[in-house]
Amino acid sequence: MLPDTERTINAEPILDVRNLRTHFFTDRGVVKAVDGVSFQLYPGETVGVVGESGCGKSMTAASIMRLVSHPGRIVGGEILFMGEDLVRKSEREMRRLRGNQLAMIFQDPLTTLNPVLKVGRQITESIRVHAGDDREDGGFFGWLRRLLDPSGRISRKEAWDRAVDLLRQVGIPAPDERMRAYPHEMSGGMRQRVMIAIALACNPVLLLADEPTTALDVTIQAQILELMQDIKEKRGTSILLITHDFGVVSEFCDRVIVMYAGKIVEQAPLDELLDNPRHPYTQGLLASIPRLGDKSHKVRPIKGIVPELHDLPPGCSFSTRCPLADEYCGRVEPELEEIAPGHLVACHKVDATAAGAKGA
Amino acid sequence: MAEAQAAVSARGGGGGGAPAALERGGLKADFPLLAHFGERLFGKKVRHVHAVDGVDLTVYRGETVGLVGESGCGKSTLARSVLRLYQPTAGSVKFEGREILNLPPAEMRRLRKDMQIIFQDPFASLNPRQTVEQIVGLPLRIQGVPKHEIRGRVLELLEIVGLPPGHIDRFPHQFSGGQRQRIGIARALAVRPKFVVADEPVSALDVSIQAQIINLLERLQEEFGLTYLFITHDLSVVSYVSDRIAVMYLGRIVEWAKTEDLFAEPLHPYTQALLSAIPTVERRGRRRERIILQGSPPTPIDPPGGCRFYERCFLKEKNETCRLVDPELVDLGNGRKVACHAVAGTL
Repeated sequence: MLPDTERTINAEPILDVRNLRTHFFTDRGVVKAVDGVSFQLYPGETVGVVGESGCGKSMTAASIMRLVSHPGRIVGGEILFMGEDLVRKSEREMRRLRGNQLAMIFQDPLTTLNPVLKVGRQITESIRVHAGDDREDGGFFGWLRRLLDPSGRISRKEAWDRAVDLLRQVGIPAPDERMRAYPHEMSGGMRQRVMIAIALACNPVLLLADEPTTALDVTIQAQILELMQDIKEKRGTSILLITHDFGVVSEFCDRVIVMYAGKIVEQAPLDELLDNPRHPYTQGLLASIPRLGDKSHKVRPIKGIVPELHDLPPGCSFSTRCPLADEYCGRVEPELEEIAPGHLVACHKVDATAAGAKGA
Repeated sequence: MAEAQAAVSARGGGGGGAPAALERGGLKADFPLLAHFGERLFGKKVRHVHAVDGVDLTVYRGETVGLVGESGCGKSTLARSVLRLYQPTAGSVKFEGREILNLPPAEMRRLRKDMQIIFQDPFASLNPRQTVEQIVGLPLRIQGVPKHEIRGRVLELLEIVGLPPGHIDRFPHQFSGGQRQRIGIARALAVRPKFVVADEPVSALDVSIQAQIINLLERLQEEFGLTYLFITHDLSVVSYVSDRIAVMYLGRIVEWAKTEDLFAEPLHPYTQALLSAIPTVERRGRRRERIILQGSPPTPIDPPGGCRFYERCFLKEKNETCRLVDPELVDLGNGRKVACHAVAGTL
């Protein structure tokens, strides 16, 4: 199952997700939002997770952060983060990890920032809660212990200065003034920069970015991608980028995972995936994107619609929309198999897809 | 069908001698900002959002004009003022040579048969308590189609847009996003319009579904000889569907060109930045060539004098003229118009 790249030999993965299953128990049935997902992320690497709405890409990220809420639940698998299984961690241990080694930025900065607090307060809070002091347990005894032993605690002043510095690093002009602004006083791009500043506050080892630029205009998206590229190069942060946009992936990622209906259907290094896509779904996705300024390249849509997750077809989930599917595909579920170094595909017809591989 | 005046098509350039379906002159759409009680008490001047500020737009019969720009640039306001869903503050809108801004309501309603709109959000633009028959049948009812004919017409329309006829009695929530957009398209087509405004019709859809809708819109254009005004922020989509493109920035059109020309050689610095900012599959690995604009667009509330792009412009040539003098949209011939001092040589 492991991709056979040189990396596996000389580096331990920072994140090793094994057979992760996150299900939602709804009135209409069990929704298998994430169903047997396995992948690795190596230090300094940027991996893109691509797929359409409802494919489980965001839920994969939420599971890693252990932010799956009722009626959803991680029902199986392991999430090894720096060798430790996050699935088994207590909520208290998770809280210590989140914002420290593990950080996340979301699509919509307006709903993730607190509208009634000035951004300065929100950043300093994050710094003070996480940095230096991991005895963040509440209650009287926690308070008493911190009071008796103030070492490792960051003063308000110090946290403020660090926050200003962070805002400067993420490219916010006049950071001193901006610290006193409320989120609604900022533009969308600014707010996303603040979110990134908060995420970076404690130097995370792994950054999960869930559609970080989807709500932004293209010129602002370019600014944010540039900023994230900078962070990646300067800090060596590993990034898991969740997106529906192949354009963003192709400018930003080293490796790509394509998801469909809760499962990984293809996984490959960026160039390999774009030049030689082998799953019919990946091929279909690439063929349905109009090319910039090129009208002669006709878009070819994938027929049909994404199936409901609580009512998936038997066998391969893509079989109902696949141009190559036959009776066998509708019966037996394909396994993810390695067809070239680091290139994994879950398709029975993988020998027949090479012809259609000229996707991009 | 009434032919448009020759004057109209002469001004537009790009369409050769084809009659213009729609033409508008120096259109403005301002929205007053509601003043605080205190401000009103002391008679403070009411400020206006100049959403569309002096725009000329000509759309020829049978063509697709793309209107691109970032959020807040006024593209949706422009489209809605064209249909008189907003009453513009100044200017004129002519449809097939006829001024429509001062038409009495009854005549306007009759004219709406020819001009329809497809909205972005297939979730918000359909009444959740009505069935497909009621939704698609409404424009027919308004236009006076007899009741007993409506169901048949709706079934026909569903087939045209590729929805199973069996779904006619379903409610919007029983459909996926792409299917809902098909319902919206069926509704727009119900009265056999000549001119359709598509306001971000695919932005809320997944890529594979997006392609289905784009192809559907193209097919319908061929079948029914439709004229489209296609509004989107997605340049890949707009380049695919449009014959000509207008780029908007802060209430103004800054560049007009045939699609191929615009992508081959964008002239306005904003267009250049916009095109280079789009991440695409084909351009991977060439990230560093990108022009990264600083800052974000200024607000359309009392916008700056001079060139509106001045603050973010990266051209070395920019100078005091740009800051002080508002550049005109200059016709460079061959359907190309640009509002930039540096390009027009008026620095």
